Amino acid sequence: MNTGDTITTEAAWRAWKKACAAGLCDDATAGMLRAFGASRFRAALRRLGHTIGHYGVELQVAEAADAWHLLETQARVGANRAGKRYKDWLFERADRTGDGWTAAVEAGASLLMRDVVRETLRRNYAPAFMTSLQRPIAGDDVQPSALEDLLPDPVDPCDALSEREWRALADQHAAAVYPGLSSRQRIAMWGRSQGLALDDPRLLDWTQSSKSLLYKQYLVGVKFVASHIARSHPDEPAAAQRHMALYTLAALEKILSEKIFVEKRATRFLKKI
Amino acid sequence: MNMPPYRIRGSEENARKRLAAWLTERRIDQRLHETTDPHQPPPASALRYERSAPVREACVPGAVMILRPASDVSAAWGPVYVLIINHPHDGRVNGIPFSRYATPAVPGEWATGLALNPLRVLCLWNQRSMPISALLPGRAKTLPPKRMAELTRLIQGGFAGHEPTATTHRRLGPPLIHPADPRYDYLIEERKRLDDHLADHEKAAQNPGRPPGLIMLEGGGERAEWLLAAEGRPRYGSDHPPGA
Repeated sequence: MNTGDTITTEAAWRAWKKACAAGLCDDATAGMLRAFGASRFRAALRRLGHTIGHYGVELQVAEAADAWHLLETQARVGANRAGKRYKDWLFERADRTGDGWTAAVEAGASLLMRDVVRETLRRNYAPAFMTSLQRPIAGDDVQPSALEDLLPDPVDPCDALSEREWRALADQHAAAVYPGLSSRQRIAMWGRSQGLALDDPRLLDWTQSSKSLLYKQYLVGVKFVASHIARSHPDEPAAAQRHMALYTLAALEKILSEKIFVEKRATRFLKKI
Repeated sequence: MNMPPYRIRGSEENARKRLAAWLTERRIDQRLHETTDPHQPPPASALRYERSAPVREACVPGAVMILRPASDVSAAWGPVYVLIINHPHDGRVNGIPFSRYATPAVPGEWATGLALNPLRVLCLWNQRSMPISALLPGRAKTLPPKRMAELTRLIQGGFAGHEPTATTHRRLGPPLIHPADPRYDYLIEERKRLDDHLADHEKAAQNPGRPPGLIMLEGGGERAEWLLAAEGRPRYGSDHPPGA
C-alpha cells in the first residue's frame, strides 16, 4: 500500500530484494524505485546549493535518471547475494521502527543515495576550492586557511644542540603567550591536549559556553600563538614560523597542565574529568 | 629574534594532494548532512534486542560484515562495514571499520586497493572488540588473501614500531600536524559513529542474566521472543512480510 507520505510501496521493496535488482523486477516496481531514486538524488543535490556551481543543472538531468542504478552499483560489495547484504541492513533498520515500515525503508535508502551523490561529485567534478597551496580551503578567518597550514613543509633543526635551542625558544614563546589567552581559550587548549572533544559536556559546563563558541575560542587561541610567532620572527620563511608555532603549542601544553587548576571552577570540574 | 639553525626538508606535496582530495569529499559530505533530512523517521518506539543470529560461523579473519543498525534510527548513518581480524572468543571478535570516504584521512587509515565503494579505506585506528551480536548475519565479502596478508604485516609492523615501507606509506593518510586540523572533528565523529552502533550490544553483553532472545520495551517490561514466533522475520529474498 502506498501511504500518503511515501512514494513507494512495501511490496515493491520486497520484490526488489527478492529479485536482486530493479532491472529484474516488473515494470511498475522498477519504475517506482527509479522515480524514488531520482527524487532523492535531486533532493540531495539541492542541499548542496552553490557548491556544485554551474554543473548543477547538467548533473541533475544526466545523473538523476540513472540514480537508482548508481545506488545498486555503489552500495554492493559483490555481484552475488552476499555482496548485496546492504539490503539486509536496510530492512533490519526498517524493522526496528514502530509504524511506517515503508517510510523507514525510504529513509534508509535516502541515506544510501546521499553517499551516491557524494561519490558522483567526487568522481566527476573538480573541487571548486582546492587548487593551490595558499588558497583558503574552508571556514572563516580563524580556521587554518590553506593546505600549507595543515601540512607545512617539514623543518628539521640542524643537530641536537639546535633542537634544544628550538625547544628553549619555544618555552619562552609559550610563557609569553600564556597570559594573553583567555580562560576559555586555555581550557579549550588544555582539553584538546587531554584528548577531550570540544563538545564534551563537562568542558562546556566548565566554560559555560556552547560547542561552537568553545571551538571558535580554541581556534582563536591557536591563531594567537601563530601570530605571536610571526611577529617575533618576521624574516623567517613561513615553514619555519609554522614549525616554531607547533613547538610553542607543545610547550604551552606543559604550562597549561601545570596551571589549569588556577582557572575558575577548576577544582569542581576537574573532579568530573 | 633569530631562530636557531634549521633546514627545510623537501615538501609535502603528495601528502597535500591526498589531503585535498579528502577535504573535498568531507566538505561535500558535511553539506549533505547539514540540512535535516525530512525523510528520516522518528526514533524506535521500542528497543529491540534481536536474537543472536548464527553469525559465529561467518566470523573468520578476513570476513567483511555489516554492523546491525544503531538503535536510534534517527541517527543519519549508512551501513557500517567491518573487517573481522580474528576468530570469535567468548562471544566477541575484533573488527576494523571501513571508512565512508574514498581516501584515507590520517596515517591510521589505509587504502585497501579495492575498487568497491564501501571497502576502499580501513580505519585501523578505530579497531574495536565487539560482541558478535552487533553484526548482521552473513558475510558480505572476504578480503582477498593478498590484501589480508599485507594488512597483517602492516598491523604487526605497527605494533613492533617499524616504519611502513614506501609503498605502504603511499596508501596511508597524510600526517595530522596542525592542532586545528578539521580531521580531528572527523575522528571524534567516527569514534561516535561506532560507539552508537555498539552501545546497545555492549549493554546486553554486560547483562548475562538477560537471555538474548528477550525484547526490551520502554517502561522496563519485556516479552520473550518466542511470543513473537508467529511474526517471525522475513528471510533474505522473502516476499512474506512479518506476521503474514
